[in-house]
Amino acid sequence: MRASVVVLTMVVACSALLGMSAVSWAATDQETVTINATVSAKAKLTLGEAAINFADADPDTVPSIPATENPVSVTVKAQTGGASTVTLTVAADGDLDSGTDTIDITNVTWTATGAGFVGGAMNTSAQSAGSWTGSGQQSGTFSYSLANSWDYNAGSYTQTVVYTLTAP
Amino acid sequence: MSGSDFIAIDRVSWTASGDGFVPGALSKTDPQPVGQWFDRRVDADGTLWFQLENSWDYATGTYSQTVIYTLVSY
Repeated sequence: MRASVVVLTMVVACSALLGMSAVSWAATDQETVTINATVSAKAKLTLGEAAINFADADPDTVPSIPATENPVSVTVKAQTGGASTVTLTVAADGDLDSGTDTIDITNVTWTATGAGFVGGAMNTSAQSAGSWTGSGQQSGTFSYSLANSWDYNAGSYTQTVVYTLTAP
Repeated sequence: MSGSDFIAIDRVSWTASGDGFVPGALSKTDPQPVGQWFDRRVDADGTLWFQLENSWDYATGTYSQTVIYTLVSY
């Protein structure tokens, strides 16, 4: 008695029926299915810290105060066009404030590690913190410093900065 | 394919239920088994669930490709 075998296979269109033509005594049937997928632009930014702090220090011995949280991890994920530019910017909402006293926000600077990430100085206008071409994910670190000065009035200063990741 | 961008077809896989149906992943070079039965008469019902492995590396676009199911009885 001859055993019967029924086999169902699925192949991508260009390689359909590969090797089947020699089986002249086989019965076949086919169905075609179209697969569709949509990928839309999206961006996700993750910073390792929600706040950074600069400890009090003698300006003569510590002219540049490193942030207690250094280095701060940063992860960028984006889907965009293959030749499009993904940008990361940071803008301060104002100078460091302590009541009516201020420290110019440009005294806060950062250095960066990781492909595409760049260092700079805070400003109320948007400053580049990184850029990349095409989709993908990138990881790096930011290390922040505050330029110290005898000119600063005593007080507790604070300000908010906003990082913006854009994937066109 | 979406213009010059593409997602590797083997990122599309499926799971299966029903006697004789098997899970797998698409290939652009080789036919992949979806089911096999050894009875002289076959009336098999099953279900296939498809999934696309997601990645941040995909470029934006609308991707499309055709696959062909072939049932062969020897």
